[in-house]
Amino acid sequence: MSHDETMDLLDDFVAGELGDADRERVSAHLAACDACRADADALRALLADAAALPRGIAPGRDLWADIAPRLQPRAPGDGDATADIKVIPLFPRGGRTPRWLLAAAAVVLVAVSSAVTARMVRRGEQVAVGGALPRVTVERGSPVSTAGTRPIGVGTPDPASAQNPAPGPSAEPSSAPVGGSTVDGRMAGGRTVDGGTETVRPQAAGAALASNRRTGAQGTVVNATALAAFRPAEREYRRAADDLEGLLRAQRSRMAPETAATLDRNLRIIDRAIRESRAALLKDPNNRELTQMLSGVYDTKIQTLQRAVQL
Amino acid sequence: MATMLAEVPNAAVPEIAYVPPLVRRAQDGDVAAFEQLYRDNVDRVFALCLRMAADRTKAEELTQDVFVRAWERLGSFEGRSAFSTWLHRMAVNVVLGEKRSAGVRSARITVTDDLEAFDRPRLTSDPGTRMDLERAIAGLPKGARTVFVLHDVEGYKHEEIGRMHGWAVGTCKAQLHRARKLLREALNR
Repeated sequence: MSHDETMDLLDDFVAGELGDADRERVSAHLAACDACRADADALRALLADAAALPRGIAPGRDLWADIAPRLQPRAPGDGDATADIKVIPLFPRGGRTPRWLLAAAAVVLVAVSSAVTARMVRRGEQVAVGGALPRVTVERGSPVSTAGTRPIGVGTPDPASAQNPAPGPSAEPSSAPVGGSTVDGRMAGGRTVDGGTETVRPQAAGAALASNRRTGAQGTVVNATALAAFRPAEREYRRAADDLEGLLRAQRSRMAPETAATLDRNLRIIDRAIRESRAALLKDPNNRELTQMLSGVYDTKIQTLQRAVQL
Repeated sequence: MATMLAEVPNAAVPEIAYVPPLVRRAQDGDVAAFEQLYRDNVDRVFALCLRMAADRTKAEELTQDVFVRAWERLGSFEGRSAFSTWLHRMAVNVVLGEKRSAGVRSARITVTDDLEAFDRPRLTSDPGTRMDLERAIAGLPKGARTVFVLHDVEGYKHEEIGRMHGWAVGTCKAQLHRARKLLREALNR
């Protein structure tokens, strides 16, 4: 066996991961070659030193003081999404209202409206939710109307619905800061460059959801299982969100720390709303209204991330 | 070499799910309990972040991110491994995620002379040897450093590192071979 061959196998030899034949060949070479034996000994010494490095190193300062303010309150079992949601303003003492404060307010409205909508759906009341959520008209026990529902991923409110705002807790202005500004009809889907900013949207999400709907008699939308139908769309949402979060991480250093912290908090709010909507859907997998609600929250996340990327 | 998992008794019996009371309290929203978990684990997390990032300021930021993320995801801890193991894995993911995004925006400083950052160990071996080795590790190229720290210091296997990093096992082994070779050269061994 040559020196080079021995060196190639030395890592595995030292780790005891060679097969019998190779191990015997390397052993024979090391027994006869002082240089390679010295290399093997040096490698063992290096590994011993590495393994002996201290497992803990104390930071130079107490980091808890910086961590504690970033911890969002949590309730047992992660609690009600709306119970403890607070948006911490960036500039609480006045001054001009930053865009992120507006976005934060919208996010809270979304979360609140999700919860209220869920309660109203449970009560069987007719409700229409505006703002960043898709417009859904629900009447328990009757065909579901999707008229006025905007396509998934498109932030522009539906004009017809906007003209007939239904009563509800989510006021129309909630759509202004978050929805409608970054997603437009020009984006065919996937990754596009718009105004120098790379934008990602889940084109296939809406298509996937739409393709899983079947229209029955009298226009009734029927789902085999709403949750199952939504899963392809959800994968697209997650992929798009992952892409955007990757872009955001890449430019996070340019963001003011306070802005980044506020963004993080509000993304957590959205994620909590997603988790709770999903949990509700798991309990009631045929409830298409819940899938609409979930898609609306995903929309909000995508739009929020898109705005953040464009900052 | 002792592996990380071998040092954690609970990790050897993953089928037994046990959530320690302190963790359970933190899961229920008790910040004081979580602070105690932070104090129990911060040195280990910071050491990993420091060795992987080779930059003290960045390591502090990453350590904070790890604990914030841990807080957010405490609900997913089911006690199938030790909390320290769960947290350590999260720390690796946070650091690798940061390294991936950092690679997008710019090349980061990969060499440090900031040896003070390593000067607060809980354990002490031969100080000269240790500091030389810490300095040499910090001077490794990013990929080689990552694999060396995870494999030879932290005890992860190639398959685990490959999964975490999105690398083939062969790539991981090649990086480790390179790292060891560079370290031996740097240490004149």
